[in-house]
Amino acid sequence: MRLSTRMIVEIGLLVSLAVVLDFIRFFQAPFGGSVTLGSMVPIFLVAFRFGGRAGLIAGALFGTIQLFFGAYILTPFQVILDYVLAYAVIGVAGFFVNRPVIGVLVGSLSRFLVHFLSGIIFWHMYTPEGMQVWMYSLVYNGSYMLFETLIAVVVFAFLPKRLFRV
Amino acid sequence: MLKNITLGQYLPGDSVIHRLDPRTKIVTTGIFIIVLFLISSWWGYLLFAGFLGYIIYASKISVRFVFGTLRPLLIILLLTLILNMFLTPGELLYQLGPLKVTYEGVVRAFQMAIRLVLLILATNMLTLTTSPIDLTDGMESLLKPFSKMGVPAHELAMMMTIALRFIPTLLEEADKIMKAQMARGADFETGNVMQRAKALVPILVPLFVSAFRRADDLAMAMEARAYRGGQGRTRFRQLQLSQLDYAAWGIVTLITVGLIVL
Repeated sequence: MRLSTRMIVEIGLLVSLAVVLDFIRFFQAPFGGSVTLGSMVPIFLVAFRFGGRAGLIAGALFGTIQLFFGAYILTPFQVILDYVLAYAVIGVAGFFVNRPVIGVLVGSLSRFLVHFLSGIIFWHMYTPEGMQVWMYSLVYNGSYMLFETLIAVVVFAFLPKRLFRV
Repeated sequence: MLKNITLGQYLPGDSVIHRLDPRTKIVTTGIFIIVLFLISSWWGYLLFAGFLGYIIYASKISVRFVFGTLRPLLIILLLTLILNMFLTPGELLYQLGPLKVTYEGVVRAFQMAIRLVLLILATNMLTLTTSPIDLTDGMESLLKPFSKMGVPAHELAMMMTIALRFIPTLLEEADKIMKAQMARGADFETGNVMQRAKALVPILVPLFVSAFRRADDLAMAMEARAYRGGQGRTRFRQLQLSQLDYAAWGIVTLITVGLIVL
């Protein structure tokens, strides 16, 4: 993929904005995961403007930068799943350019699925007694992802439509 | 709301550890993290902790500060200890109502907790002694060999650098916009999650617009200076492995062999 100067700069700035929005938190779950001021929205914008692959790159960068700011680390593979892959897959929204809301939902669902898997594989020992592991991961990750997705959809509805196209 | 944000963990300094090449630090941290999961004896953990202690000492960062970085993970640590202690089946040591503490449980709990602490401290030492820009430069250099396989190493590093550079700028801007809206009577601190989120929309739109405006200016400035990607680009600061790095590699190899043998 050829990345033009314009794409490099815009992706850089939008990732930066995503990090800034991630600092504004309404709710913080104890083992990572939070409800933010639509920190996924800039990544969705990259995905819609430049396509799914650029979205994947932007998401992966966003996740990696979060690592620099202190992260919840259990094992190296968990970090790759929870920080790099989970945020990268937000970019798949870019494959639904003509249906932005569907794109936002698919991107958010993909991120949720990665966190959900990571929850089952790596965080299972924190499951409260008498609860199924998959149920715990579903509730834990679902709790913040549900609001996070809702906020992303609402914010998206308020953004000027001309921002979606280059 | 934007008051208690520390930007990155980096603590500038001029110690041996600070002066190491970022590539050395990234790769050795990676090696140590993998080795940490291969250690099977208490001697191994002791050696690892000793070496980590030496790194902390050599970095001249106060021990209290380094251990302070564990605070956000305190809940995880405590839960790891408690859950493993009570929920591992084995030889009974002590019974407290329905809760059974087993010998295997105590061993496992301490093993897991120590591993977690060492892991977090080791990765934090990397981010405490290496600035994000150095980390990015190091990553670009390490990704270079993959650019033939289609990994846009330079472009990725450039995007990362731009993103890191503009975090403080956009943060300040967000703060300014928030204050401007508060002066007009906006209320961000009361109400439930959805109400507060809705109140914040008037901050978002100007923030997005300003990010795009900055992107415009920056792209124009870069093109005016004939920026055209990584090919043939030269650098003001070249990464170069020094004798210090070779010494570090020697020590790390020895310790890694030691850890695996133990």
